[in-house]
Amino acid sequence: MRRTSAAVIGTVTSAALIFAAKLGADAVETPDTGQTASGDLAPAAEAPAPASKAPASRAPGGKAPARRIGLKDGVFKGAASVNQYGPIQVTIRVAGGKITALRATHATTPATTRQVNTRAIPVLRQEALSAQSAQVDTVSGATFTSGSFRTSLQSALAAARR
Amino acid sequence: MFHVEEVMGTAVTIDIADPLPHGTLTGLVERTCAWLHEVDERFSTYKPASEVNRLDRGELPAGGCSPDMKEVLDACAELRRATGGYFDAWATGRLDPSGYVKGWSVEVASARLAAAGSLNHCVNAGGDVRTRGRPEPGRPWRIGVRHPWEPGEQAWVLSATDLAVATSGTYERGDHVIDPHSGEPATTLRSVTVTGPDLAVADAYATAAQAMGLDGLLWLARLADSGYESAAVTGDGHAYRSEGFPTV
Repeated sequence: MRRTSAAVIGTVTSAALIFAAKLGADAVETPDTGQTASGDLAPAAEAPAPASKAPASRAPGGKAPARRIGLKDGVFKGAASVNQYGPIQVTIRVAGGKITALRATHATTPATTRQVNTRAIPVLRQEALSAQSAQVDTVSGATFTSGSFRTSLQSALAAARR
Repeated sequence: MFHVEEVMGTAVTIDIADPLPHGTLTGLVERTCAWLHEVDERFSTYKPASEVNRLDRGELPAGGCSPDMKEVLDACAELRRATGGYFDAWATGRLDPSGYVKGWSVEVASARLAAAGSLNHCVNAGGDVRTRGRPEPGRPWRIGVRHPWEPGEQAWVLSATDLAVATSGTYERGDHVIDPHSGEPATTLRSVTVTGPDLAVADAYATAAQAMGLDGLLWLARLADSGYESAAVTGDGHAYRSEGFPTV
C-alpha cells in the first residue's frame, strides 16, 4: 500500500520543463579564521566540474531563468548575526553573478569566544543542485496551504497508496 | 495505515507502518488527529477564541496559561536567544508562535505514538517530517527534500530511521519569511532544510537561517555541533549542505 508516490508525482510533473541545475565549479571555501580576520577576500577554490549525472544536470531552459533572482557583481557585507560562539559577519564577492569569494569574521573581544575563533569556521559544502525523481516515502518542503496544489497531490497520493 | 488530515491550515499525513491490529491503528490515527486539532484550537491566530489570541489581547489572568502554552512560550523565548532574534514569535508585533507550534505538535504526536506502541511511523505536516523506525523491515525511511523550482523532484534524498526534517522556503507561499531586524522579506535563500532530533527546533532553525540570508549558511554550518545538519539552495540556484546531512 506504500511506495507509489514517485510514480504519481512523476506523472503529475513529467511535462514540466526543467530547471537548469548549477554545477559545482564555483565552489566557495572559507579559509581558517586566522587568515580571515584581516586582509582581502580569499579567492574561491577552483573545483572541477563534476561528472555529469544524467538526472542531475539538465539543459538550460524552461521556467527557471525568468524566476532567478541573480546576484549583482561586487563585494557585499552581511549584517552581523549571532551564533553560539558570538557575532559572525560574512562578506562575499560576486563576479559574473556567482559567489567567487567568501569571508567570515568572528568577534574576538570576549574571552569566551577567543578559543573558538582559533578553529576553522565550518562551512557548508557547495555542490551541484540536483533534480531527482527518486522513489521516496515522503517529501519535506516549504509549508504549503491546504488550498494549494500540494494538498490535492497529497490526497492523490493517499488514494494511490490505499 | 496511511491517513491525511487537514488541520492547522495544511495537510498532515500520518503513516503508521507497525503491524498492529486494524482497530489499534485506527485508534492511534484518531488520537493523533484529535491532538493536532486540539493544538489548532489552542494556538491558531485565525480563531478569535483561541488561547493564543486571548493571551495576545490580555484577556488571560496572570498564570492563566495552559501548560502547553507555557511550554511553547518558553521554547520560543529560548529560540529567540539561540538565533540572535532571527526566530521571533513576536516579530509581527503580536504573539504568533505558529513557526514553532507546527513542528512541536508533530514532535509530540510522534512521541505519543511511540509511547502507545507505534515504533515505526512517519508524520508529515505540510512538508515538516518526523520519522521513527522503518517503513518496512530491512530499510530506513527515504525522505525527499523538495527541489525549490520543480515541485515533483527532489534536490536531495535522505535516509533515516529516527529523524526530524524541516524545510523553510520562499517558493510555496511567497516571501513570507521576514528578516525581523530589517523588516524586509528574506529571499537570498530560496530553501533551507534542517535535520536533527527535534522537529520544532529544526523548523525554527530553518526559518531563522532563511531570515539571515547568506549569513545563514555559516550559522547553519555551526549547528552540526549540536546534532542539526542542514542544506540550503540560494535564489540563484547554488546548493549547499553540511558534511553530515544524511543523504542517500
